Order: sequence, then structure tokens, then C-alpha cells
Amino acid sequence: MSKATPRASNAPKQRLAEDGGASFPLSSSLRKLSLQQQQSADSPSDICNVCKSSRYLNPNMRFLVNPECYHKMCESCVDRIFSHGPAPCPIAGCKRTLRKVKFRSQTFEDLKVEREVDIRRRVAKVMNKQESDFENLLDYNNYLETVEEMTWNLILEIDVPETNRKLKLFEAAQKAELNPNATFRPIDDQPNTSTLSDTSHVVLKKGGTQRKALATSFGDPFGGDDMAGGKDTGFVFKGLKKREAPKPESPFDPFDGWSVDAEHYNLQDNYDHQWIQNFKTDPEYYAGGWIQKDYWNRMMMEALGGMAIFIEDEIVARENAASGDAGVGTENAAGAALGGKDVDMMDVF
Amino acid sequence: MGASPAVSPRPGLPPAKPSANASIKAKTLAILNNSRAIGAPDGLSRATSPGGDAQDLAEQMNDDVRNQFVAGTKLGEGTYAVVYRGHFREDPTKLVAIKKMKLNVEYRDGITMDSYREMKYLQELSHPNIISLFAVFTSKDQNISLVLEHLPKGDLEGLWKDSKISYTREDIKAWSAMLCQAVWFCHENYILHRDIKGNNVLIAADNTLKLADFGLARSFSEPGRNMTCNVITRFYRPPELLLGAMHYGGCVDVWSTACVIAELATRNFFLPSETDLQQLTVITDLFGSPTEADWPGVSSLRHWEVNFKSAPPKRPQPLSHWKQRLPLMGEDGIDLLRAMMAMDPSKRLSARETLKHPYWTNMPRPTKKENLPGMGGGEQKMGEDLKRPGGQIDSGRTDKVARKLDFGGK
Amino acid sequence: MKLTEDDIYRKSSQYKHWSFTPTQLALLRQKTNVQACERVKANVARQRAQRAANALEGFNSASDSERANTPGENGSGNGTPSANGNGNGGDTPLRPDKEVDCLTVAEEMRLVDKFCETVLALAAFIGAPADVTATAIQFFRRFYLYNSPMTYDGQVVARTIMFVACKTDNFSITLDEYIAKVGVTRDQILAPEYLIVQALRFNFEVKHPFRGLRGVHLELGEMLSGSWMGMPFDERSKEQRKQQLLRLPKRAGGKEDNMTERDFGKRLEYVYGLASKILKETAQLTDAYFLYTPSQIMFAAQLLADEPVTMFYLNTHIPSPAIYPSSPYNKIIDTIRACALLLSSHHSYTASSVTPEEKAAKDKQANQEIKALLKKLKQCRDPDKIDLVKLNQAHKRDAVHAGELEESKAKRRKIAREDAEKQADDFWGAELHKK
Repeated sequence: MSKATPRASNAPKQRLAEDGGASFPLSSSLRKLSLQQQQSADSPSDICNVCKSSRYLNPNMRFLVNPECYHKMCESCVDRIFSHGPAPCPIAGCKRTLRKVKFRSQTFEDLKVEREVDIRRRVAKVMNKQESDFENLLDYNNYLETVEEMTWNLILEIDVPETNRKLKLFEAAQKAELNPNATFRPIDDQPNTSTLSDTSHVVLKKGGTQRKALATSFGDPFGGDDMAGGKDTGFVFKGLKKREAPKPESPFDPFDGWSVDAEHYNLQDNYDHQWIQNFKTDPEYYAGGWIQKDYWNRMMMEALGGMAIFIEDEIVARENAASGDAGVGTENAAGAALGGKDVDMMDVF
Repeated sequence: MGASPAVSPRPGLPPAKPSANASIKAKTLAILNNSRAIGAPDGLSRATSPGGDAQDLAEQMNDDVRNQFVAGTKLGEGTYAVVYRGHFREDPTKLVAIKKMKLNVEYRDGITMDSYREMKYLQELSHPNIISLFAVFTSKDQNISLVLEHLPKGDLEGLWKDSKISYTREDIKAWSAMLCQAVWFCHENYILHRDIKGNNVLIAADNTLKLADFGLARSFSEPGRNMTCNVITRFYRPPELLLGAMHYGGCVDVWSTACVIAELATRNFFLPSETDLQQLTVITDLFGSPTEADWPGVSSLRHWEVNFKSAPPKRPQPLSHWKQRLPLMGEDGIDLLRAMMAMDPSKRLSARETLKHPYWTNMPRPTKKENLPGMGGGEQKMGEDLKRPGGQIDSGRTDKVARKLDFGGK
Repeated sequence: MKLTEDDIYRKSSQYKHWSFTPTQLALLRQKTNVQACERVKANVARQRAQRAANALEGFNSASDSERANTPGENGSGNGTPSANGNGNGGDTPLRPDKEVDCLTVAEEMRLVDKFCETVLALAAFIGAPADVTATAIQFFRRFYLYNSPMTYDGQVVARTIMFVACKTDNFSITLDEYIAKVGVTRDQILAPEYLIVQALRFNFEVKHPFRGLRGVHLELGEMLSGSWMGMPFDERSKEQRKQQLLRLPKRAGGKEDNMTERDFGKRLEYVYGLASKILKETAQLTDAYFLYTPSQIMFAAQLLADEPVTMFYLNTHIPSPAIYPSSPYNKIIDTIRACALLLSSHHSYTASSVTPEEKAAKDKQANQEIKALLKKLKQCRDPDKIDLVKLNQAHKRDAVHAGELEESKAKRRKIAREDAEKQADDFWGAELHKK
């Protein structure tokens, strides 16, 4: 027990950590249970149920469990029985097919606690709404209550197939919402016997093929017309805000939003003038990289760039924006005060 | 972007509000008084006190600008400039780099051309990938100080030289895009940089690249007027300049840009050489000797005869050579680089065309700015870069271009 | 950021820092004038008081050296006795009771105009091309927005500004070549350089209308040969446009003409030559650069040279409000006309209706006015700023002193800090050795 004891004494803390962000601390009765277990540390737990070898003889022995059935056996038994692929559980009366990868060392002395934590972790992974996802606190609390009720249904094995079905539907709906562009295979409505028939079945991590099979293209689980449309998304929560789909990333713009384009002119490919002809035919120019078109464009840009800028208006506007108060009229009035020449100029035409 | 409004050199000219019924003369006076009250009360009152420290309007404005900044520790000192770290007086978190131009002992004709060019062009260009010039002022000892953007993350050359930094093809694409944008914007304003190289491309705190050092820049030339071909640091100098062209265009910068991108991809100088003559050899080793067929008019350039008249023609390296040398660029990247380094400048991509190349929009997408690896050299490096005169790399070699620009005659 | 050719101009320092409303321009000049007057009066008064004091004490050496050593007496010019009195004292009127008669803003402007012509002549003398010349003139005009001719002599500033423009606009000339041509010393050119770049606010880019004029000329040529493709809003065919062009009246309001393509080509060359001359001379001597954009100035000159052709060109580039109600057509035309009026009202502009005799008489009168003004200027020069070379040297010397002062201060501070640290160390005991 030398190894198990310190781990068990850490149990409450560890449990919180292993909850994986689930906000449901174990009920105090459960915690007590696990503590009691620690007190009664005794030999049965140190003997492998399959090969009957004892830790007493082999202090390095490790015990593993599989969350399919939570039957405990030693590491060498797991290696021996499951190395060549899935095999039925060797414990008498348990027929479940187990895989080697699923075996792990148990965290809690009490396997009941271990199982509850697993269930809670799994539920919390799917039901991961936060208060900010809801319109108000009441709706959030209602949601939490539903989650808790469902969790206990799974723990106490009440209505398990239905609860599992709903959970999966809800998960699929959530995924569809997160990534609307992904294609999902429609869910196989017939419960798969290997995964759902058993009451104590808990899947921690689904394999890729399984996940695809479970995924669904069901749309919005929260809209009111969902049920009317006959689409079952597992749960309908009141007051749940619709998730904002992240904007699809726009294609990369090498100009980074900048552009310089002519407004008042239309650049021609060529201009003919005697004056320019000399430069066009001089190899010093065309071989040296003097680009005619650049020069055309520069000429036209300077000819028309600024034609539609009305300096007085723009400066007045700029200063009004800066000072925030002065009226547009003041500049003109001041202009009139200073001889009025410019105002006259405008009036002539 | 650009100079902050506070640094605007124009003194405050408040919109005047004359009383409506007063005579014209009264109005004038009112405006005048108004302007005296709001405009520069300080200067006027100073001027009125006889024997006081009378200052010109321009001097006052200069002092006003100078007083907006606080100079701090020295970041670097060279023959041509000293660079200090500084900040805005009113906001010490807004850092700047103050580049104080030294009087050049060799140049006896007053303020150097470099200083003029740098001030002239940086005042006109405002683009996120071009270093911002916040203000310029003179100090009492008649040195010009440029207040530049503070770019603490070193330069591109430091980046690829630093073996501790690893980067990917996506990063190269992101950096190249920013560099090409800077060059494009210069050319859109008809300004040739003429000294693009790794250590003139500095990196801002947010990983934005900024093209700096406009000491050799000039406006595109009028036809009929010569430009000097003795510009651009040798490794980055395009063949037409090596052949003595005096009428060139934006394509010279595009060649240099391609060299910088290739450097990033190879983590080494792309076309290094020891002398100007050798530079042309290095280029033709890669691209083959230019002929009248693929570069019409090349034999009319001034230095063609010396270089190619009697030399045996060379074949260009095959595409496989490029793929082997620049695995990080990918096929489209190599295509871009080769188009940017076409020997015939009129066939070379323009800066605008480089940005329209499919390389940028093809996969992989360039890294987002915030995720770029960084810290190539740091603040000290910026100091080194800003103080260095153009046309020089700090490899210790004496490979610099002439600082006395000859304008290519008249 | 989406930019048009207008926005590109908006990003220039010429637009940002050197464009004004007429009011702003007048205010700025007024301010510069007031300040310069006050300073001239103060400096002259001080000088007179000094002279009076000297006269009382007699010219003993003690007072002389004392005067030279009194700090803060007159700002930057102190310590240079020749600038204070000996050299130029004769210029200032001796009667102490008489107020100095300063120049008015209008007179200052006349003088600046006059000195601009000096710059033109200087540029022609050293063979500078039109754009470098124009840059020099604009630098000069910008300089005198913030400075008065009473403070800084136009001749002196003009020489240096011409050299600065050569440097910024890539006109190759060394200082030695330049001084050989202009006939002054190196220092006379270099001394005001910092003063000038400071007054120019370190903006050295001047956007000129010359290249644009060439562009318009080329486009008109394309229209004439019937190969100009036109703007999208223009529905006329190339040939229609060409025929309309050939039928343009000779002058505004005239009757329809019908020229051959060849004759019209000559007309275009003439228009280009005339407009170019207006831009190189008249436009430089007015406030056009401060009040209008280069494009508007260019069209104004075109308009003065040939109104029908210019209006035709503008109509092909700006949609009329009949097509697009929001088109700024009318406003653009008004602005260009206003600019044309500004250009044509300048004395250097000679309308074709003026006879040579009238012009000669006008010039003569102008010359007399200028002479009177120059005479008046002599009486109200700021005595502190006459010898810029000495002033510059004094400036440098001051700065060096100040620098040394700063240095010694810093040194003292460092020693003090080290002492304090040492004392602190003593108090806490010596630093423990690291193992």
C-alpha cells in the first residue's frame, strides 16, 4: 500500500484537477467514501484478480483498470491477455471486450469514485456551457441542474441509453455549430450494441471512426423550431445564446489593403511625341531599365493629382475638426477682412 | 502614421473670429491679436522684451519640436551619426530613436547629401512598412537630429545570421511581403531607395518590417538627366548598374529586394563577391552571360565591352540548381525570385507586379505578424544600422559604394 | 488604404505643411512682420543706448572689453563687437528720438518678389534647370514666411538657398564650383545653411507643375492624332474628339474654327511653350504654390495660354455635373480660374493686349518702387543679423561652450553619485565577496 497511500491522501485535490474543468465538485458523501476506502487498505486490493499474484511478492506490481468494466488486474496480465488485440474481460461473469490501450492505472482507491469521475469528466466535456453563454442566471442554473440530473442518471444507471443518445446528439450539434463548413455523416440512429447496449458503458475517448459515425449534420440545437422540424439535438436549453461563428479568414492580401489607383486619368500604353521618341529608341534607356510606362504614369499623376483638392476647404475642415467649434464661415469672413481680394476672385466667375 | 499632429511644424494659426460689425481695419487687428494670443504668445512676448533671448519664429518652432523629445542612452555611434534612444516628453512609454547626424569631415560642402535625402524622402513617405520620421530638429551645436521610429528588434540580416532563431517558409513569405510592400510604396511615389539590403530592413516591436536608411534615395530621373550607377551595396547591385547604366528605374530596387529574400531563404549572402568586377562574374555564373537576344541593347551599356567582349559566354544555371539552393521558397517562390532577378531590367517585375505574383496567395499562407519569430540583434543593432552610412555592410570589408555621389556627370 | 492621385498629393509635405488659406498666409506674414519689427526696434534702441553710453564714457578700452564680455546682452550675437556697432553702426540713424521706420507686410512681399527674381537670375547664371530653379524659389518664399527681409538679407539667403536646392534636387555642382561662379567665400554660403533648413522645417520636396504640363501636352497630342482612348464616362469616339478639337475657337468666346492637324499641332506646341514660361516665371513669383496644388497651377497657366484647348482637355477628364451630379467639375474650374487670376495679376505676367510701351512704363515704375523699398530696408535692417558668417561662428562657439558646460556638469554629477555610493558602501560595510 506504500504506493497507494500518498496518492489517496491527495485524492480530493487531484480529483478537482482531474475534473478537467468540470464545475461539479463531488458530493461530500462520495468524498467520505473515498476516504473510508483509504482507511481500510487491505490485502484484497493487493492481489491480482486474474493471476492471483500478490504485491507482497512483487513490490513493483501495478494494477490497471479498463473503464469498460472497471475490473482490476495487474500489468503483466494486461500485457499477456490483450497484447494481441481486443479480448474479453477475464473476470468471471464479465464478457466485455477490452482493448489494451484503454487500460490505465486507477486514480482513486475506490473504483466507484473512479467511475463517477470518469462519467463527470465525459459529461463536462460535452456540457461545457458557461454562465456567459446564457441570457440570465436562472437559465444557467436550470442548465446546471439538467446537467447534474443527467450525470446522476449515468452514475446510478437510470435511463442510460436515452441519456447517452442525447449527449451524443448534443455534442454533434455543438460541433456542427463550431465548424459549419465541415461535412458530417448523418448519425446512425440505431444504437450500436457494442457501445450503447451496456448500462455501465463509458467512453472516454472516441476513436476516429467512431466519432465520425456519431457526428451529425444536425443544425442549430437552440432555435425554437428545431423540435418542430423533427431534428433532435439531445437537449434544448432555454436562454442559451447563439454562438457567433468565427469569421472565415479572408485570403491573404499581399498589398495589405493598400492601393494606388488613378481616378482622373486612364493611362495609355504608349504616348507618341517627338520629344519622347529619342528616349524610346536609345539603348542607354531601354537597356538600362528606364521604364517608359513609369514615366507616363508619373506625368499623368502629377498632371491630375491634386486637381480636385480644394486647399482652403480642406484646411478649414481640418481646423474645424481640430478645434471642434469654429464655423466654416469664419475663414471666409476673415478673408474678407484682409482686403477681400480672394473672395472677389471667387465672385468674378 | 506619419508625423503626429503635435509635431506639425506649422505654428498654430487659429481660425480667427472677427466681430461682424467692425471695420475692416479693426477686423485685421482683431485677427492679429487673436493669433498673438493663441498662436505663439511665448515667442512674441520674448521678442518684445529688449535684450531678451530674441528668437526667430523658425527657431521657436525648432525648440518646440526639440522639447517634445527626451534623449536617453546612446545606442550606437559611427562616423556619420550617433543614435540615442529617446521618448516623447509627454509620454515616456512612446519610444523613439534619435539619430543625430554628425558633421562629415570628408564632405566640406555643408550638410551632407545623405542627410538631405533622408529628410526629404522620409518626410514624404508614410506607410506601415517604411520607418516613420516623427520630427527633425537642430541642436545648439548645429547638428541635425532625426526623430525616428524606435525599432527594437534588430534587422533582417541579424535575423538570418542568428542561428538561435529558426524560421519557416511561412515566415519568409510574411517578411518578404512586407518588404515588397515597402518597395512598392516607394516606387508608387517615384522614389528609388537604392540601398535595399538586409540591415536596412529593421523590425519593429510588433514584428512589422520597416525599410530604413534613405541616404541614397532619389526621385525617378527625368529622361535626359543622368543618375549615378555607383549606388546600392555591391551584393545587392543589379547587373545594369554594374554595366554602367545611367538611366534606370525601379527595377534596381526589385533586384536588391530579391537578393534580400533569397538571403532569408538560404541564411547566407546570396551573391557575395569581393570586387565590383567579381560581382558581375558571380551574377553571370548564376544567370549566364547577357546577350543582345535576351537583353536587347545590353551591348550599348558603358561597361559591356570590358566585361563581355572577349569573355567566353556562360550558360545559366538550370532550375534544379535553384530548387536545390532555395528549398524554402517552393516552386512559386523560386519563380517569383527569378522574375525579380531577370537580367534585362525591362523584363524584370516591377514592384507592383511582384505583389501580384501568385506566390503570396498560394499555400502556405504567410505567418501572422504576431507569430513571427524575432529578436535579431535587438536595440543595439538598430543603433548600428541607423548610424551606418549607405552602401556598406558591417562585415568589416571595405566594400562600400562611393559616398561622394557623382550624379553620373551632367 | 485606397489612394488616388489626389491622396498621394495629400501625403506630401507640400500639402501638409506648406499649403495655406489666404487668411492663414496673411496672418503668418503679419506675425513674422510684427515680430521682426519689434526686434529691429529693440536692437536698434539698444545699440543707440550703447553708443550713447560709449560717447559719455569716452572710448576707453575697459568699457570695450566689458561690453564684449557681458553675457546675455543680445541673445545669439553677443561677443562679436563688429556685428554690434563698429561695422554697421553707420547705417542706423543717429537721432535717438526717431522711431525706426519698419517695412510693412506688403513692402516685405514686394521685396521678396524682387529677390525671387535675383534667384532666377542666379539660377540662369549657374545653368540650373527649371525644376531646380523653381525649387530654390519656393524654398526662398517658404523661408520668408517665417523670416523677414529686415532680419535676413535676401541676397545672402538667396545664394545659399540656391546651393541647398542644387543639393536636394540632384543638380551636380560642388561648393567650390559654385562659389567660383557666384563670387563669394565658402563661409558666406555655408553660414546660413542651418538657419535655412530650420526655417524650411526640413521639408525639401517641392512638387512642381512642369512634369504634369508635359503630360497634358502629350495627351493633347494623342487626342489630336486620334489615338487617345478617353475616360470611361466619355462616349465620343476618338475621331469625334479629334474633329471637335480641330474646330475649337482660337480664343474663348470666339467663333468656331477649322484647323488642319498640322496647324493645330503647332498651336499645341505654342500653348505648351507659353504655359511653361508662365509656370517657370510668373507662377514662381506669386503665392500660387501656397494656395493651390501643382495640378491647379498647371491648368491655370494652360488656361492663360489657351482657354479653349484647356477647357476641352478638362472636359475630357472631369465628367460634367450633367452626367454625374456629384462631379466637382464647377468647383475645379472655379479654382483653376481663381488661380489663373492670381497669376495674371502679377506684374511679370504680360497679357497679349499690353503694348511694349505700356510694359516698359510699368516696369520702370516698378523698378523705382523697388529702389525706394531697398533704401527703406537699409534703414531698418536688424543690426544683429547682418554678418551671418560671424553670427554662425559665434553660434558654434556658444554651442561648444555650452557643450563643455554640460560635460563638466555631467562629470560633476557622476563624481557626486560615486561619492554617495561609496559612502553608502562604507555605511553598510564593504561588499561581501562572492564564493
